[in-house]
Amino acid sequence: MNKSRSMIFANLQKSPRPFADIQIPENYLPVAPVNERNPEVLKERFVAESKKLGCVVYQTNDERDAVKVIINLLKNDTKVSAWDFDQISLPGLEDGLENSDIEIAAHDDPHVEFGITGASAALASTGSLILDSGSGKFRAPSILPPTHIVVLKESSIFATFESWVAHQRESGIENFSQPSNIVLVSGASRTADIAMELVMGMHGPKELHILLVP
Amino acid sequence: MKVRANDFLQAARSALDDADLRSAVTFGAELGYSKRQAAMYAEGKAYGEALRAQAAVIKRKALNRLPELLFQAEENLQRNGFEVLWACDADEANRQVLEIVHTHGVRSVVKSKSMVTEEVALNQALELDGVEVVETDLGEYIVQISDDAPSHIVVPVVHRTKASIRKSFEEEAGMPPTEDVGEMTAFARSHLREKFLSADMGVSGGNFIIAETGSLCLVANEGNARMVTSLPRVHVALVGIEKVVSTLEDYATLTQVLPRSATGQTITVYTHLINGPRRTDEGDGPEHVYVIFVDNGRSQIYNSKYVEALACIRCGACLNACPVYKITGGHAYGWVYPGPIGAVITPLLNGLDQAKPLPNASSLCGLCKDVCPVEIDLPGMLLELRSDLVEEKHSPRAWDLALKLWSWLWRDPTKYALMGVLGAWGGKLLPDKLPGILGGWTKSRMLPEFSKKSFRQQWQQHQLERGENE
Repeated sequence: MNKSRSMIFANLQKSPRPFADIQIPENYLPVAPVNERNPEVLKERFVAESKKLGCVVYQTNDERDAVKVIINLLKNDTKVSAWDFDQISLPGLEDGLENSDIEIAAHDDPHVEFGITGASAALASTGSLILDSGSGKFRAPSILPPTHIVVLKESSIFATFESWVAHQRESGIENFSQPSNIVLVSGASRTADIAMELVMGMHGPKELHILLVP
Repeated sequence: MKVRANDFLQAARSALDDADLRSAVTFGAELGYSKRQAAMYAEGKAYGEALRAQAAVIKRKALNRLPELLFQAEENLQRNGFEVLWACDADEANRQVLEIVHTHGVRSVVKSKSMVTEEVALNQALELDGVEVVETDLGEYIVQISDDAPSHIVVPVVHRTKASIRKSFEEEAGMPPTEDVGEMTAFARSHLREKFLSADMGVSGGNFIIAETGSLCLVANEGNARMVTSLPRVHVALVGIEKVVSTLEDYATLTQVLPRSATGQTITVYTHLINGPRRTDEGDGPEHVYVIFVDNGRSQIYNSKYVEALACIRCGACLNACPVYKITGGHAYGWVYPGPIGAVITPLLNGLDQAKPLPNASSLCGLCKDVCPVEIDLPGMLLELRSDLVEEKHSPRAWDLALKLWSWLWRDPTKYALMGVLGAWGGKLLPDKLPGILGGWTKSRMLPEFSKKSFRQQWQQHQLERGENE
């Protein structure tokens, strides 16, 4: 194995370097520019973009309102999988579910219909949610159930992918790989592999519901 | 995978005779092209072009620093808990995967879409070893159950009609009869869900590796890549050595330009940054994650005049744009990578003698270069490869002789003038109806009369007359 490694490196160093005169620009253009800093405008753009992707977005006024939306979504279902509640920015959620006799299943229970998670950030430019793995922040509730419900704090919406990256750099790029998994979720699972026809819910969730909380 | 690129002409001909294939591929490719145009130029043509230039510079800079970036990537991947392996060729890559299989007692594998694994024929190697392998990308799953091969880098079954896919689902997978694409995908979803939940190992490719953070990056839409990289206890990623980029900023540009070029999406549904195995405080995720860096001919390209081909991010835009691909489909190209990029890298990765017709499988219209998100000069490289074909004496002998004769005749003015006169005379000898394959041309129209004088003679006369008039 180490022999192959040395061989590959030796091969790559045989010839003079290609593209020696290439200059990298100091600043990159954002791929999907959003020239706004105003949080209200960013929120509106996020809502518009995520709706374009087929997400259902709820703008709630307070905690109780948000919990009510979730309970209504669950209808008569009595089981959900979820992140640990201290990782979801909705303090009344645990009590609200308990009061409605909704059981919290194992995070990897393959039979639950709903998964509830938080999100560490979101992007206005593309309507994307960013989910990190971590203590109590399981991957399965956002992968296995047919419906994924995300609680998102309004203040965590970045303008663009690039501004989120800039924030990672400011907070220390060496911390970036702390979570084993970071995923940008932009709408519900989909495919167009058969005759280019769009079908939702190929493998992951068919529906993505986003609750914006203040 | 066996290279059949030398059969291009026959394969293209039979593709042309297949009306279903042609209409399916043309429809898919043209839809992909128009969606690409809309997404890439959403902020205007000039902005889209500036983004292409930016992506092009980023990838070329990464190629310039490839050895350093690979070294840095390895160090940071390992620091993040990845195990990193290096494979010189296809056999070695497969052996390494099999070793991992044995180490972890793996019986079943779920795979997300990966062109490198097609290139090294990993599925066959695993199956020979008695391991169950299931493709989980819907298109790749259809390919697998119908013993077919992907014909497009991004849309594997673009060559298939709904009816033929339905037939495969019913006959090979026991799907109850339905015409509805939604029901077909629902059938695949429930069948493959079982596989995800029971698999021991997940295998993926890799769209990018970020050297400075040690992250493995994937783009996907169906959600299968999330399952493949999260549910089984072992995850193995096979990644070409050219996939490494320097910074998170570089990655941010490329991972957004890629879906715009590929499917016309602003971003894929799932944009993955994988930083290694599950951490001790995390409740799920694989316990072991391997990255196998695959060379398989890439370092040869790195040392050649074709190094720019390594900038490719596998978006498939050049396939969708190509007038040849659009009517022949991908299988005619005879290996893993079809279309203009395939016509370039198939001979480079396998040897020109294995893919002699491919440099000529292009009209050189140049659209592939115009749509390439990293501005690869594909037509230029195809021309260069044609010249290599001649240099390496791969062109037909009669063709070589004819060109030699041509160049001998055309090289000095006397012979050139003589040929003009002979040409004018020769025109008179042609019958009204041309024979053989040329006959199609004269079936419904008259053969125009050739001028009695050659152009040179006419020009001299013209000059003479002009002199008299002045």
